[in-house]
Amino acid sequence: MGIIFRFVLRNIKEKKFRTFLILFSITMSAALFFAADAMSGSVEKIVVDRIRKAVGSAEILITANEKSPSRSMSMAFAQRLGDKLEYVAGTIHGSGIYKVGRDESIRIDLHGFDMEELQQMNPVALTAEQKLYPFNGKKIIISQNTAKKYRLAPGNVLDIEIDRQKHRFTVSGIAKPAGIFQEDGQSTNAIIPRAFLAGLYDMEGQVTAIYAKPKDLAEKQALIEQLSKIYNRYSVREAIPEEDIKRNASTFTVPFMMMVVLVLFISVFIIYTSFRVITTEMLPVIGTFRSIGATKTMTDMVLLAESMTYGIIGGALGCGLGIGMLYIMANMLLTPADKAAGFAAQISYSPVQLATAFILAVVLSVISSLVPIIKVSKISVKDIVLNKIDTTKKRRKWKLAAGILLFATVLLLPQYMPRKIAVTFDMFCMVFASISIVLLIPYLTAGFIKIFEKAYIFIFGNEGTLAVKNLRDNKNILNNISLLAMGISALLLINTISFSVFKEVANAYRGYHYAVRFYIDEADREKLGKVERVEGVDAVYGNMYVHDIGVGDGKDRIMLLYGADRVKFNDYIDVGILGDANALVDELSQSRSIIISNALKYKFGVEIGDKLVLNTKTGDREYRVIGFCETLFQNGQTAVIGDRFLKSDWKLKYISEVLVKTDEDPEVLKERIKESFKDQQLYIQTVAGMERENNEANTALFGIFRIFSIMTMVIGVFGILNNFAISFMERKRGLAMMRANGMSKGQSIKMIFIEALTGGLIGGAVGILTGILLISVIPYLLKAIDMPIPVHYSGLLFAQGLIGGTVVTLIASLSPAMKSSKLNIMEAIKYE
Amino acid sequence: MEAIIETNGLFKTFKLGMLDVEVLKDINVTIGKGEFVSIMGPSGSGKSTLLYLIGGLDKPTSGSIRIKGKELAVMKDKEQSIMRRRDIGFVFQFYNLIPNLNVEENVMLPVLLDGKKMKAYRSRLDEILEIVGLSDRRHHTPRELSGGQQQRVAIARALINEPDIILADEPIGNLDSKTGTEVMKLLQRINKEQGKTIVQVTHSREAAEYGNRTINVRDGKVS
Repeated sequence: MGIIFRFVLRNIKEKKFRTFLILFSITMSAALFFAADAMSGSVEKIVVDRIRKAVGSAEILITANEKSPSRSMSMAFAQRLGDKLEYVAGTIHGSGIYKVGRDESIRIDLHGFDMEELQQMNPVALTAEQKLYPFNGKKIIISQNTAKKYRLAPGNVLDIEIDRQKHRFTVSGIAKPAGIFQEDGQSTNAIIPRAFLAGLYDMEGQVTAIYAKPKDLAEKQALIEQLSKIYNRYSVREAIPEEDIKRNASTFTVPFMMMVVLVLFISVFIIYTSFRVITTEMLPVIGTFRSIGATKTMTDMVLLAESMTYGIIGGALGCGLGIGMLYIMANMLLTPADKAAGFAAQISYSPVQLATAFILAVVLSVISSLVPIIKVSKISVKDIVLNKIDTTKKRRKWKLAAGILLFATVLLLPQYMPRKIAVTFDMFCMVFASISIVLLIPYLTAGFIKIFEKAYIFIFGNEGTLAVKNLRDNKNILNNISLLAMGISALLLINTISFSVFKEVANAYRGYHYAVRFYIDEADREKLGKVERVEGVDAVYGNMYVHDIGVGDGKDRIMLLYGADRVKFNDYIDVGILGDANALVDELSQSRSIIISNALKYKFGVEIGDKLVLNTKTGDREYRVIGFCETLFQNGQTAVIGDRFLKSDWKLKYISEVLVKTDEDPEVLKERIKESFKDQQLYIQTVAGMERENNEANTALFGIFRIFSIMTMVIGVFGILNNFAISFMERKRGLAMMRANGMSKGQSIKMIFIEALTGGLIGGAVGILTGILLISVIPYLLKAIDMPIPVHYSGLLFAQGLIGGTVVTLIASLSPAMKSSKLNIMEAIKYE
Repeated sequence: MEAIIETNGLFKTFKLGMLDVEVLKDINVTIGKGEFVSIMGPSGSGKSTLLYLIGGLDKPTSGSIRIKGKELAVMKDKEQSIMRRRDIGFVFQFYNLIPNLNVEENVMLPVLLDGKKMKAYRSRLDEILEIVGLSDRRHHTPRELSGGQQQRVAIARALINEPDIILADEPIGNLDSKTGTEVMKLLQRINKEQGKTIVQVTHSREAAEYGNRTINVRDGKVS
């Protein structure tokens, strides 16, 4: 046994490129699987970090909701559970305007805290302080950034306007950028004594939010239940809503897993084909070992040990590489605001995830090599020794039938899948699509060859005909076509989705029939009038909406609910209402009726005339569905009701956003509006600016997907190089024979290039077909994860796929072409 | 008799690791047009090397080879290739057919390489397949043929361009005696009826007897 193992190890060491290829594909598979699997954990960590910035170590949060009698509550009831709680902290949130100069003012988020409670919950680290304690009166702690920006130091005073009244605060502390002061460049935070804000807002003994931490974390849910009973008209929940975060993050994993499925498939294919060569090469040795007494199990175990060795090494390398990849991906996901706030990319993974990736690598390697090993195991010793092995490859009809069946499954069934199993089924469809193409490739190639055979006689002459004939049933070329097809389809898949998203984002912004939008505190008719008077403003609409509305029992949500003005809404916002948009919006103003997006229609399973119960501030209200719209606003989770019902049911006093039309340069108008409202905090954007920001965020996300797809292609390219090397070794004798029959060096090179060109073109064409098949599943998959983005095909992308595939194959054929011209004919004929 | 193959002071040395092995030493042979010559000798004597050098499949270390009066050493790769297509036909021990081409395509290979249209060679193909007795197997691939049939395809391929010379390396070395006899008779017929010059390398004295002259090579020298 030892001598056989030594032989295997020597074999692994000698066949360096093959060993590299197998290890590379296993490593990449394990790494990408690990990164995709752990990605959701890292996304969770990013989200948790963002929340922890505000809530510190608190685990329970109590705030007012639509059913609460007021926005404040007493802390006393929570404090009665003091024996079970490590601490209870309360805050009063407020805001103020700090006038920096004559033309500049900034909005400051004011957090009213009791210092002792705050230090327990979310400690503030100070770089400088002056008469901080006792923390009362008009003392203020500001961030290091704010102090630096506005040249403030401890002891300085600053005037802040709260509720239209000016208050002079003394800077008592400068805080390091951590916790509440980990600012994102957009907002400015400050801590002031809670008692001061309570006095100002008439909230003595009250707070707007209560934070608590249980002594025993295991009792968290029990405490939440207990507090829910006490604060029964308030919202008592986990400060970190782990389940929600997990659920949201897991939808993030789906597209990554989609790519991993393709990578795994390519790896299985590479390992399988490599092991077919390994077992064929080892046949004489296996015969020799078997003839001198080694059992079938012994030789099988040796081959299995070889594949397991690849799996173990690839798994270990993959885990290391996966951690690096995860870090890069997490870094790419940080928003500019996160980076401005000083967040570093943090990754999160468990030993179980590492172990799973490692086991996957070993299983992947062993399973992929199993079929060739079993096939060799079935050959009798006599046949091996006498070299009577039939290597002819028969086309099996079941493969054609299975290929067609899987192809049809992928093409036809996803549209009929119920929502519950759609994601799983669609992921299987991605695998089915790849398998079906691999099964059909010999038949597709034969068809293409017939076409090329006729064309090449005119283009390349007899060498062209010979090259095409050489491609018939050439398993290495078929393998290359399979690898190319999978690599190209992965690239097409990601790029088409990315292309579609960018196109749809552009389309969505075309639905904004205005140039500038802005938010301003307490926007009312008076402020709208002021906007109308700004030079260059053609028309103004005060749009109203609410976010994240519970439907029915509250589990289903509508993410954006517009309150439409019957006259102006359609003129400013096009949500793609199907049918007579004006008539439908007019109908919305007459009764509690609703227009929902097609995505929500699919999600809720409703038709026109059905009723939806919306959880409003004034209780549950029934709205009748009167129409549907096709929009991508809020990923399509959008609906429209009449503005008067939105105002009454949600008790809205102010306009949500101001939309402005102009014929002038929006950027110029933006500056004019800012100037006009210079004494107030504005959040203003042009539509072009909004689109640019959205595209930047999408670019980061698709950058990660592209890494995955490029890796898939890289694995494929290495596979192609390997196949060319194997093909050259196998064809040495044939090429020498052609040279003996009068083929010149030039003809030999020309023939190999034509073969590569044809293989590349077929691979590219089949890649496009595979890509189209995979992409056909995408709309259903995206719909199932609440991202109903229609797919747009780019002719240019597909042309690039075809050309790219051909160029890759031509480059890969350079080495065999050159080697063929230097071939020693006599040696190849006599000894190969 | 007009000389069709001439070698003068032919030497061939191979590198075997650190050693230089002299395989052919000062070979001087002349083969006349229409001769059927058998080169014989023990394993490793250099007889196959001599055949491959004559066919231009390898280059001598020194000395000259003239085929139909033309010096091989001064020919470029393209000229040598054209010569191999038009003036020489090869038959190998292991047939060396292209597995994914059928009988017709294998036979037509030198025609294709010569840039000629297959259609123009239809009647010639039929004639040759008739001679080698494979008219009914024309659409079969090599793996569907016996060893003897494969060797006859190789002979047909060697004949398609009507070369003056056929070089055969152990043409019956891989065949049973009955099939071997059939193949040798076929070569003899081609030599007699078509006047082709045939040079074969063989171990078999019986096979050598089908020729009209034998050249013995021993330790790289003609003995």
